[in-house]
Amino acid sequence: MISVSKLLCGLDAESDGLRYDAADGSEKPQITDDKQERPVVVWNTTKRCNLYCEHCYAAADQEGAPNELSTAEGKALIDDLAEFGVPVLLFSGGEPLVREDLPELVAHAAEGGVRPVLSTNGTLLTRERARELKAAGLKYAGVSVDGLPERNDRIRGEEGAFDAAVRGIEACLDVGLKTGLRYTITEHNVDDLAGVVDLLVDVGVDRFCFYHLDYGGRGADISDVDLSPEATRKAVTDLCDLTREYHDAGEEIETLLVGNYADAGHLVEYADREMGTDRARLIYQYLQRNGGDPTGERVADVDPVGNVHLTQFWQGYSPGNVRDRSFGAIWADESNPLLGALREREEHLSGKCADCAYKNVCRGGSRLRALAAHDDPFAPDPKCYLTEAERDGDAALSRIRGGSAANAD
Amino acid sequence: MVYAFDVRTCSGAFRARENARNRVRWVVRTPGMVEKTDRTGGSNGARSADGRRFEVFVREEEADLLRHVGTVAAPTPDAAHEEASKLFAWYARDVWVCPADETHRYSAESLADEETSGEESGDADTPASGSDEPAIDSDESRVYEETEGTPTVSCGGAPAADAAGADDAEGSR
Repeated sequence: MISVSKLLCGLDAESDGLRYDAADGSEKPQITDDKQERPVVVWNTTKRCNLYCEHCYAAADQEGAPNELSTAEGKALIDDLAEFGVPVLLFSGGEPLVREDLPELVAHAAEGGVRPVLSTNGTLLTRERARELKAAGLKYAGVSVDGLPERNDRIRGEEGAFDAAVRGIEACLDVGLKTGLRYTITEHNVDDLAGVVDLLVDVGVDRFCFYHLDYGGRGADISDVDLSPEATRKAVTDLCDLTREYHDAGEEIETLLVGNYADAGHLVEYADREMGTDRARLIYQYLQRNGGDPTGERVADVDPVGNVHLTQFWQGYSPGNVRDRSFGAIWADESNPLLGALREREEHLSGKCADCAYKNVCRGGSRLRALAAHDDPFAPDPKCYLTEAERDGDAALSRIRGGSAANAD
Repeated sequence: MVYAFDVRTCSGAFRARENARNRVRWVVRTPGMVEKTDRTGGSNGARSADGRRFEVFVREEEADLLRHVGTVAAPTPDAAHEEASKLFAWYARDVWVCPADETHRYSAESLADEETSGEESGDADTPASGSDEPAIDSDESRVYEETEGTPTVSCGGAPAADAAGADDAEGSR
């Protein structure tokens, strides 16, 4: 996750310590003062969902999975995560709000010292439920909207989904529960991106999280509508421009990018071009601390039946199940050859990723997309959109390294 | 003198995982006094949220033991081998796959063992809203009835009154 608003506009956020080891420089209360040592965990609490979105990585539908984790197992899982030092637990799905015990599980996480946050389609969020979740200790609700009404409803498979999601967002705002947007960018909705931001800023939303399409679940079925490298570059550039325009106008919105660490290199290049080499150098240093693609390291997933995954998008492989071993035992087991290799992936990356100048801030991008495109988890990410000159270090990096503070590395 | 794991069940109302962990402790025993591990098969059941899964075992060199490296989602053993090969082809000499649902697992621990699951779920014995029925069936995930079957936005979305309230608050909506 890369914070565009932090890097380009210097916006303080409560995740600065977690994401950039920069708690000292922030005036916001921090999730943690320490650099992240343990993964943020996404828990797909159920496969059941009241919508049917075309890009759903969890392939959620109306039926839950057989043998989903019970309330007692969920609490035991949360205890394990707390014991292991997991800083944040993201309750996801399917649609987590179909679980009656969600407030109880949220409260258990909060009491155990794991920050509970929620990913929801928003359509089941009433004021009453938002209030109940906030009282249970929920810190944030990310609501998925993937376009203006017509496109969103087509993507989400239900007429009225947009209006219901906006009502859910308003319910959160009404009860003082921090909320934000989640938006997966494809050819189907890239044209609506700025319009959705404008509309939701008017509603009162100030946090916008944009996801590149990853090729897991139904996302793999629509890789043909993923943005081309050129279109991705333009969309990210437009988002950078939009963020700066809002900040210049005094609206300090928080904008983030997820799922394509070519964005890291692009932000350095963008800043060098638009804001100067000193700013680009500072951004580069932040991104080095951030650590690049988090697969198998700073993010983990537990699916509805307890399988652990290396990211939420990579459901096809699991190194273990929490019904057999604790999450910590699975995650720390570096005898697993894939986990071990991912954690020293620089030695395994091949093709254009192997000698890319941005390898230390990107770390090869999505290993899942590489697997989907090349049948090799260490092949190049097909969605890298950096130019050859940028990858060779002949563009911004040559100026950053050649400048007065040349020791950017 | 040898060291052995004592995995006998002990009593006490510890939290489920703490309880399970505390049951495994180092004790000093004389030869021939090592007690058998008490395992149960309670962690069986479906292991996939999306189609079939296969347990994967790999061996790097001929003299090595097979190593369990996790599971892959695949419809057939051949497809599972293909998936596993993509992940471990650079590493493994042998790849074995076994249907996850046909694997019988026996363990001295479980994620939330039966004796503590009710206690762990907080208030399994506490009536819900005055009902005499237990509030929780701790063996299953709990879902709202209205979201089962064929849920829709119209039946699951914010009630009209809530929506109207939001409309009023926003003015322009």
